[in-house]
Amino acid sequence: MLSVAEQCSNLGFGVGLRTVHYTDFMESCPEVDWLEALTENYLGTGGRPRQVLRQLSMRYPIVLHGVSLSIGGSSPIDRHYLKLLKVLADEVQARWISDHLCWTGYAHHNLHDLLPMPFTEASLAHVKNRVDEVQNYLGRAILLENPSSYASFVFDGISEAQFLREIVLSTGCGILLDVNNVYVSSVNHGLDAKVYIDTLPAEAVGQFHLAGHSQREGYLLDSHIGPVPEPVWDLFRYTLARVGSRASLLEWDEEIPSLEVLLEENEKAKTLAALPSPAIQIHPELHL
Amino acid sequence: MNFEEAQKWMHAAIVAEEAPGEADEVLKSTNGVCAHRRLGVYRDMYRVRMSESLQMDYGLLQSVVGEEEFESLCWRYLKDFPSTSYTLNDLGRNFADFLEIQADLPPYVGEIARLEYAIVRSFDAFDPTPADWVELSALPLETLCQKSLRPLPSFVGERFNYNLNSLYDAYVDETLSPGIVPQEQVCNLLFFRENFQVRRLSVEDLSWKLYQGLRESRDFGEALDPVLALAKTPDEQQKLLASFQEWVGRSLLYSA
Ligand SMILES: [Fe+2]
Repeated sequence: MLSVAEQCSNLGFGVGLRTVHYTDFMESCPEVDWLEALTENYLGTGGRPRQVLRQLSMRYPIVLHGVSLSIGGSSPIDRHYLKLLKVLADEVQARWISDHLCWTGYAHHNLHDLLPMPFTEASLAHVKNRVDEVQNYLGRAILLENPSSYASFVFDGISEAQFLREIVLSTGCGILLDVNNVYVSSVNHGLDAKVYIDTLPAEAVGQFHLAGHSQREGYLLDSHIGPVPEPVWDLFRYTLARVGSRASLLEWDEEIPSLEVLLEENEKAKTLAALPSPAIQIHPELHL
Repeated sequence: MNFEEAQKWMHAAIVAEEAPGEADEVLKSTNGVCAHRRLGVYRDMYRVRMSESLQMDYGLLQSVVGEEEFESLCWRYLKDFPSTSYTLNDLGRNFADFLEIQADLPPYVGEIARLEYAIVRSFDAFDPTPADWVELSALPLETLCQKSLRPLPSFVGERFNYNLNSLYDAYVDETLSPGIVPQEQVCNLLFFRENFQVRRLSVEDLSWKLYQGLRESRDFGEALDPVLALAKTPDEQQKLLASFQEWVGRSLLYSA
């Protein structure tokens, strides 16, 4: 099985491939280090999206990012989905494959949302088995992203970061660390974002996500709208110092701007990543 | 409650028409936000996501029945046919069938959904390599008739009892008048993909029969013969052959 280290080279600063930018990419080949494609938009379709992705894969490194694996779900892993995913990954020579630490529905009904995991010993064992199953099938380690969450269960026994850490240590999977999601969930649940970052095994982080969010009444919504807010940049600085530089990607899915605006925002991330890291004091309670 | 039961509960709580009362027994109320409000975030997002997905593919239907009625039809539909796929692209797979059997709806409502689903199917279909026009036209008629020629999966045909062609034209031109009811008139539409855009052809009955024949028959001869027999005049025969030539010329058929 291909490990995280073997797959996740630091590709630089990527852009999420969205339909509105297809023409820009196809016609003018803008300077972008790599592209992240939303897996489900390209599975089981023979239309334009698949054709565009195939062509772009000859010019840019492609990473596949999914939302429907439901690694934490109770229904059996969808083998048909995995089969299509493997074919697509081979076709576009995906550098790595990621999805989310979440469940998406029950009894084969898909709510198409990244629903919060119940964090118990039983669910941990369940997810570990499923990650093993998926990785064995794909022949490669996958990356799991921490989702933004708005609710947690009364019986949760461990934190999300500990849960993710345990999965990584047991299965050898990697982490797609979404810095905005860490910030959003920490605000929504009144937790310390830096403790979250410190809990994760840094060497397992294969990629970063950066994004914007929106203030709602009493909580933050992971809306992927607008530029990256200052507190997220602050947390990114902290993360870079703690984890080091990794392939990074800006997610912008609402009121998607021109490619130039996206690339300008990427420049900010580049500048931060190029700065020397300040010394970081790891949270004293953590024994890593 | 174990984690599976928690997921079962939360799933039901998100899709239920009314939010359940016991949210605080399952979800934490923390940081000044109660469990009901927290569940509400997921309930609201589910509704927005499903509506937006159907609106995207069923724009004509929404324009004809109005936003409020469309929203209500979506929820009636999703109760019986929730998504079971990894993708939302196919959320409307059963929409037309569902609408066509609703006694309180005029029959054209289901037909409109069927038209819009034909566009989705055409857009997403995986196609084999089309038959080569030059090669086909060089064949003697007898050999051509023995060839099994089929419409590409992206070459989708539907027959309607209402004139949805004019209705769709008005929708595209943004000239649909509010409360419009399509005219009752048989209409055969063929959808195909060209440069990754879905295009539409309106065809007469004989061409429609040939299209259907190509879908169902063993070979081209078996599809053509009964339709040619129905063509009463040389003009009709000419039109029929012109349709066939157009389909081959546009690379819409493949050798099965
Ligand atoms: Fe993300």
